[in-house]
Amino acid sequence: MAFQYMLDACGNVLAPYNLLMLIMATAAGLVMGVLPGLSATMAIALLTGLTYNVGDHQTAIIALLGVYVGAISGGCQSAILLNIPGTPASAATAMDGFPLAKAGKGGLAIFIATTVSCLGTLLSVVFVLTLTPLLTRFALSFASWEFFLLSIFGILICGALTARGNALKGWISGAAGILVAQIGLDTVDTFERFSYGNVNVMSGIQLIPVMIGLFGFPEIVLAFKRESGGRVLELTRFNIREGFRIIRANLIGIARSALIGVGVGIIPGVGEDVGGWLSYWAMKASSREAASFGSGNPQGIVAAETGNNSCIGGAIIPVLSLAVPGSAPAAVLLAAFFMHNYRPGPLLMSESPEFVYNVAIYLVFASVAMWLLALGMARLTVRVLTVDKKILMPIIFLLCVIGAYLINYNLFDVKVMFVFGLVGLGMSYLKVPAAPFILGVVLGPMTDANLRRALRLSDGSFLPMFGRPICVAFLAVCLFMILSQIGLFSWWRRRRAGKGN
Amino acid sequence: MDTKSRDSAFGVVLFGIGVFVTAESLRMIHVATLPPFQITDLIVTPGLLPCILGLFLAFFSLLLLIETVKGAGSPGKALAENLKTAWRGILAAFGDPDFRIMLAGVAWMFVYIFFILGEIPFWLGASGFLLILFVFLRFTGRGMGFPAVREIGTLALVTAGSVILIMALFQGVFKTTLP
Repeated sequence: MAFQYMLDACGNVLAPYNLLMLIMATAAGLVMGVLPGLSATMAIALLTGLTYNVGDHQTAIIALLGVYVGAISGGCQSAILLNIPGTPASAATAMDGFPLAKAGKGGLAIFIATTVSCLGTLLSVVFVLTLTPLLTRFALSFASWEFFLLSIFGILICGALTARGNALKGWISGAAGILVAQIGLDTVDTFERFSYGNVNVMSGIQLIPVMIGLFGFPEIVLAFKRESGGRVLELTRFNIREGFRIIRANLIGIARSALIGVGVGIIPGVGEDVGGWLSYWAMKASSREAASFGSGNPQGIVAAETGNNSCIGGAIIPVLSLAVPGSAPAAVLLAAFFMHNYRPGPLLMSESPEFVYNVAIYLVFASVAMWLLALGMARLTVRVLTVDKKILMPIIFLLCVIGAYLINYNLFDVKVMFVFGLVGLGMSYLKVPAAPFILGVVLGPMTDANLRRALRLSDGSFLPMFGRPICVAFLAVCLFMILSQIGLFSWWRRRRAGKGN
Repeated sequence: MDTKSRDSAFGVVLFGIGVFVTAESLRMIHVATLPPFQITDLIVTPGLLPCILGLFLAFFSLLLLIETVKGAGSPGKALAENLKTAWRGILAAFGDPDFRIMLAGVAWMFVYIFFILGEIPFWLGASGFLLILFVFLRFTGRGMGFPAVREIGTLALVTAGSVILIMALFQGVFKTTLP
């Protein structure tokens, strides 16, 4: 049956219109990825609004996956030639990519980065196909308490890993996101919360306008500054033979980075940038040439790009099996799946099992299309970097307005986008991560509904939570995370060391 | 503005939000006990999670404030000093040309979204919005030198091309209605 589903998916994607959409979306993703400031999240959020009215849902899903793969992979070009990562995912790539480009090997660096990006996505597809059914089966044993604690666990870990040293800010961001999700009529009793009689607010705050505002708006406004970007280095020849030789010599590193990427991707809300950095560090730690990392070692590019791209598949696994996004772009993808009448979650494999195989096959085609387009269009996409951002960003803003409007054909959503744009601007100034906020908005309804359902079933008692093994595991991990982040363990170690002395 | 002052100001604002959310949740819990809902059980009331979140935000903001005054002799004085620095930083930001440019850009976006969008035909509003923003950014980008007429003509062409392309794509290809 699985083979049949995959054949059908191949048929879908090879239909001329869908193929054209895949190529267009992947190319658009590459361009968005190349441009610093336009993130993969923004690219998908924008395209979700734009493809909302495309007749065939499969076409929309193909386009969304294409733009996701394209945007994550495209970021490496600006990281290598400009030393400014196009997307946060490619930040680690710049460490060795830029020095390599400065040494006149920019083409080789881009060839390696693009090829391992493709390999990373392809390897992650294997995990999508194998882990999603397993995790879905496991998730069938989840009841209200488990789903409630899963959402809390997601917010805590996402907050801790994306806040760069201050987990508190990440948790504040996540709690604020859950709070935003409470606005409007509640799902259990249709009770009006924080809407003050406004009919538009009563229907709740839509995810896509919030996302476009949080991720797109700050970058647009920051581009208004007078300062201009750095100089773009020249794109030299790809040197394909040398590139393949380097990739062959690092196959174990590629496999390790893919594993790390998938693992990071599965963790709720933790994005491709973390996958790239962790893979980079793991490669550096195990390399015999560790000293040359940071000064143009191709191994650094191999690890970073494999790691961040394999996060794509990793992040999609919890989306499909638990309806919990593995990263910020995956959160938009989850919203898009719901908008196109798919219901990811524990029942997916019984309700529409073909969907998992469709997504896997579309990812394969998207990554191959990305590889061909990224190398074929490299000279063109690199030229995009020279386009004046003061011309480009106002046009992008207009697309953001349209993207927010098209979700419900409602001007209120555009205003929501603007308001959350200001919130995003403030958050970026205060160095508060936006990813936990988005995760909070996504998981908010699930948190509220499951907490109240569980309490209703247990007559208001929290005790049943402690009698369920999965809940106990979640509670233990959450507690450990909180205690370690507030420094209790290090305080205890210092105290013990003090006593010893 | 240094991180401590910034976080102090953020902590104070966040504490206010936390208190407001908690108070509002308590009001919700009271309203839920009245007809038609009549939910008297506190543990399943719709205000439960917002109340928890409000308390969490207030608690987190206190932790953040404690972090900003950690190590200071008198926490109250240190906090007051941080808030003063933050206020001075906000006032100083208005003297920064980049900040003023961004502020003007945001103000123009606000006017477009709240007063122009949906009130006049999309092509007209979008063209006006883009052209004015392009000219403004070109004007400020070169140290307040006004762009030449030829340059404004080029920007007008870019504007017209962008709007035509957007409308052709959405109305022609995607068959959607624009605001």
